[in-house]
Amino acid sequence: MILQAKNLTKVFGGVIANKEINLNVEEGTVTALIGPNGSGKTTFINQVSGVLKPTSGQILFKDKDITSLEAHDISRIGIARTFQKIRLFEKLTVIENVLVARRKFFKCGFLDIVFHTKRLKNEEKEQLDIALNLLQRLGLADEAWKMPGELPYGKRRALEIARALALEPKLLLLDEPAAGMTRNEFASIIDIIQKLKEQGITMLLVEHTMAFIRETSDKVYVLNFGEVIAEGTFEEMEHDPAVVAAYLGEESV
Amino acid sequence: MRVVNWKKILLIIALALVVVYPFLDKNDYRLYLANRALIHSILASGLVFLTGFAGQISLGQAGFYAIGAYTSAYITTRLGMPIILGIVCGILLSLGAGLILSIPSFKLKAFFLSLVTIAFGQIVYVLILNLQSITGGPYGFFGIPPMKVGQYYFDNKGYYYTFLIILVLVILIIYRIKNSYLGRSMFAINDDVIAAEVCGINSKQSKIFAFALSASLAGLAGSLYAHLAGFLSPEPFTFFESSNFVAMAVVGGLRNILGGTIGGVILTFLPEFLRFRGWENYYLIVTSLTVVLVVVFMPNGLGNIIFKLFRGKTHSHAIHKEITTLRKEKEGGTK
Ligand SMILES: Nc1ncnc2c1ncn2[C@@H]1O[C@H](COP(=O)(O)OP(=O)(O)OP(=O)(O)O)[C@@H](O)[C@H]1O
Ligand SMILES: [Mg+2]
Repeated sequence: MILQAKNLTKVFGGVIANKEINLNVEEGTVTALIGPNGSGKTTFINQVSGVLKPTSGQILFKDKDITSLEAHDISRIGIARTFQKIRLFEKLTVIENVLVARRKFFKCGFLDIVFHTKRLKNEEKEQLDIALNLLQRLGLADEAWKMPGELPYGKRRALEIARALALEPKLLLLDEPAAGMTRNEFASIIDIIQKLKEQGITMLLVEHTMAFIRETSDKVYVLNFGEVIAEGTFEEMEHDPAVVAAYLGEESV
Repeated sequence: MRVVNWKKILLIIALALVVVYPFLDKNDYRLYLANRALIHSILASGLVFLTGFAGQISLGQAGFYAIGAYTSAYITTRLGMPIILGIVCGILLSLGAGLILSIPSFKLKAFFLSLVTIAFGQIVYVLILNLQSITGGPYGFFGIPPMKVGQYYFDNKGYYYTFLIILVLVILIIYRIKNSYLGRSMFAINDDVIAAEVCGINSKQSKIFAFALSASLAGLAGSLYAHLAGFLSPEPFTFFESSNFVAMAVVGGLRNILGGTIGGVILTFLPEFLRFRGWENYYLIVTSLTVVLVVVFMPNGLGNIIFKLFRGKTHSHAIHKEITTLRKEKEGGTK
C-alpha cells in the first residue's frame, strides 16, 4: 500500500468532517473518493497533503508515518495535489507556475545565487527544459509565456496538474479535476489521467461525475457525513443500497 | 541604430554624475548628507526586499540599525579591534536579532506583526538609554574611529565611494536573489501560500530568510553610520526613524529593485533642503505630506515612474529576466 489512512478524524468546531476513515491506496492504481456535497472528501485530501492537521488518526505513506509532517515536506517526499477551486500563482507566468514546483530539485545554494555561477545558470536551464516538456505533455506548450489568467478554464486545470506533476510525485491527489468543464475539456482530462496511469502514477481522485469514475477508477470509496459507508469496484458501488440511499436521500429507500 | 538613443545617453550622464559627484560639489555638508543617503539606501533596499518581495513588514528597522551601529562602535573603540571586524560583528548580531524577530511572523498577520516589530525597536531604544556602560546612554558614545586605508583617513569623499560600492553590491545581490528560484518561491508565497507549500516551498524558511537579510542590511547600514558620524547618540534610533525607513521604501517603490535607493536619497535630502529654505518649522509636515501624496497617487512608488519613463512600460515584477533570457536563447536556437 502506498497510502494508508487509519481512523483519520477531523473535527471543525462542532462538525465532524472526517470520522475514523480507514482508506488504502494500492500502488499503480486509481482510487476514487466519492460522496455527496459536504461529505468530507476535500477535508480528507487536505489532511493527506498536510494542508490540515488531523484531529486524530494516522496517515502512512509507503509505511512511513507522515501525520505530523508539514505540507512542504509531504510534497517533497512524493505526494502532489490539485485543488477543487483552482489555485494558480496568478502573478507568475505559466512556465514559472511549473518552475515553482521544481524548487526541490535545485542543488545550487545561496552562494551560487550571489555569485551567479555557471552551475546555477545550467541548473536553471535544465529545469526550464523539464518544465517546458511537462507543459508540452499537457498541451500547454503554446501558453508557456502567458499569464494563467489568459487561459481558458480547462487549460487552467491542466496547468494545475502540470504543476503537481513537476514534483515528480509517487501519489497524485486530484480534487474534482473535471469540475465545471465543457464536454471537450472533459474528454481531454480523462485522456490525461489515463496517460498518467499508464506511466504508473498512483492517483486518488475526488469526482462527482459517474462517467468519469467508471472510465478511470480501479477502486471506489464512498463517504457520507464524514464516514466511509462503502468500498469496492465501481460496479459494486453502483448497486450498493447504502450508496444509492446516500445519493438519493433516505426517503427513497 | 540610426536614431540617437537619448534615454541611454541620459542614463549614462546620470551615472557619470553619481560617480563624479564628490568632485562637483564643494559643500562638505551636502557630501556628508549624500553619505547618509547612501546608508539609508542600503537599509531601505533591505526593506524593499522584506516588504515588496517577501510580503512581510517591519516597523522596527531602527533597532537593527542601532545594533549594527553600537556593536561596531563598541568593538572598534572599547576592544580596539579593526573596523572591518566591527562591521562584520554588527551585521552578524543584527542577523541574529532578525532571525528571532522572524518567529512571530509565522503566525501573525501584518497588523500584529507590525506591533511586534515596533515593540522590538522600542526595546532596543530603551536598552541604548539604560545600558550606559556599553552605549553611553543619553550622553552618547564618543571617539569611534573613522575608516582608513593605510595612512589615509577617510574624508567624506572616501566614504562616498566606499558606500557607493557597497550599495551597488547590495543591489546586485538582491537582484540576483530576486531572479533566482528563491525569488520565484517568494513571489509564489505572496500569491498563494497554501499552493506554494503544496509545491514544496517552505514558507517559514522564506520568511526567516527575508527577515535575516533585511536585518543584516540594516545592521550593515548602522555600522557604516557609526564610523561616518564618529559618535552615537540615541536619537537616530527611535520609532520615528523606523517609520522614516519604511517611508523611504514605499516612496521609492516596494516592487522596484531601485526603490530603496530612490526613496533613500529623496527622503534624506528633502527635509534638509526644506530646512535650508528657512522652512525649518514646516519641513516635517511637507515631508510627511509628500509621503502621503506618493502613497495615494503613485502606490507603486517614484521608482516605477522613473522606470516607466525609461522603458516606456514597466513589466511585471514576476517575469524574471533570467527566464526571459533563456527563452530568447531557446527561440533563437530553434528558428
Ligand atoms: N476549514 C473548515 N472550517 C470549518 N468547517 C469546514 C472546513 N472545511 C470543511 N468544513 C466542513 O466540513 C464538512 C466537509 O467539507 P468538505 O469540503 O470536506 O466536503 P466535500 O466532500 O469536499 O464537499 P464538496 O463535494 O462540496 O466539495 C462540511 O460540512 C464543511 O462545511
Ligand atoms: Mg470538496
